[in-house]
Amino acid sequence: MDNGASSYRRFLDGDESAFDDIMKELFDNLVFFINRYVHDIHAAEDIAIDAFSDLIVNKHRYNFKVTLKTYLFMLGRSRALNYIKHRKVIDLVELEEADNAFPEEETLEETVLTDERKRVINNALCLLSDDMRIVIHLVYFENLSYKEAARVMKKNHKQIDNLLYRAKKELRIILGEDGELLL
Amino acid sequence: MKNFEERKAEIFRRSEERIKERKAKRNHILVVCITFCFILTILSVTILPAVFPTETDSFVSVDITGVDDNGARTETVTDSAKVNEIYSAILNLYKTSDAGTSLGGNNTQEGGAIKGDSYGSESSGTKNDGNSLVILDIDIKKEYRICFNTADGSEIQFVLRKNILCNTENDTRIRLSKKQIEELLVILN
Repeated sequence: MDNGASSYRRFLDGDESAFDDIMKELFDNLVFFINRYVHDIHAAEDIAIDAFSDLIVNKHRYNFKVTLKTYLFMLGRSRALNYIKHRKVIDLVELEEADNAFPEEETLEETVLTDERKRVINNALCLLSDDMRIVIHLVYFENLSYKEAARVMKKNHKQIDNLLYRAKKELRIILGEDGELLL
Repeated sequence: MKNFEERKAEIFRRSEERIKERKAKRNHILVVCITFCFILTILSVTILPAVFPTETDSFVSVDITGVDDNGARTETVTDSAKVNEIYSAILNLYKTSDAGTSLGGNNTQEGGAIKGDSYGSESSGTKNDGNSLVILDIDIKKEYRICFNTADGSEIQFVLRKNILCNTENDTRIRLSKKQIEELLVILN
C-alpha cells in the first residue's frame, strides 16, 4: 500500500488507466478532507479537481519522497486555504434549508467513513477547533502517520503530538463514556 | 456532486487549459524577449554609433608632414582604414605609456612651431634626470607632424620629434621607446 505512488509512476510511464486507480483511491478522501476546511462540499470537490489536475500539469513536481496521498493532501490544504482567503461572496442559505443543504455530503461521508466508530467520532469533530479536527481526520480517518500529518499541516512532529493529545482529551469529554471506548 | 467520469473529464479539461495557458505565457515571454533582443541589436548597430560616434570614425583624413633638412613634405591619407589605424596606434601609445614616461608640459603650439620645448634643443644621445626628457639614440632624421582632420574642419595634431610624441591640443607628451618609434614609423610610412 503506497497510497497511489506506484499508480502515479505507471501514469507517468504512459498508463492512462493508472490515473483512474489514483482517483478511485484518493479522490473522495481528498474531497472529504478539503471539506473540513471549506465547509462546502461543492467547493471542496472543485478544489480536489484542481489538485488532481495539478498532478497532470506539473508531472515532475511530485518527487516520490512522500506518499502521493500526503502530497495530494498538501496540495488540497494549500488550495483550500487559498480558497478561504479569497472567498468574497458567501452564499447565504436559509436556516430551514441549511439542514438539507448538501445531501451529497452525507453520501460522501458514508463513502469515506465506512466504519461506525469513525462516524461517531466525525459527528463529534464539529465541536473541536479547526486544527484539532484536521489532525484527527488525518491520523484517524486517513491513517496518516504523525510525520505525514505534520507535512500536510505544515507543523512539526511535536505540535502534531500535542494537538492530538488535546483533541483526544476534548473528544473524551464530548463523547463521554462511549468516547473512552472509541478512542 | 459529479460522478467519476465527469470528475475525470473535468480534471483533464482543466489540465489541458492550464497547459495551454502556460504555453501561451511562455510564448508571450519568448516573443517579448526576442523583440527586446531585436530592438537592442538595431539600437546598437544603427542608433548608438550615431549618438556616440567614436573618435576614430570622425576623422576623414590625416596629413603626415615629414620635416627634414631638405624641407617639409606632406602626405595626405584619406583611406579611412589607414586613418583609423594611425589614430589607434597613437592612442595605444598614449594608453601604454606609464605615468613615468608621460610628460605633462605647459608648452603651447603656435603656427605649427613648438615654443618653449626643451627637447628641440637637445641633441641625440643626451639624458636628463627625473622628469626631464631622455633622448634615445634613434636615427630619426625628420620631425613628423601628424594632423587628423575631421569632417567639421577641426583637427588634432601630434608631433613626433626625436623620441617624444606630443599632442599639441592638450600639450600631452609621452616618451617613446625605440621599438615604439619604429612601429609608429612603419605605420606612418
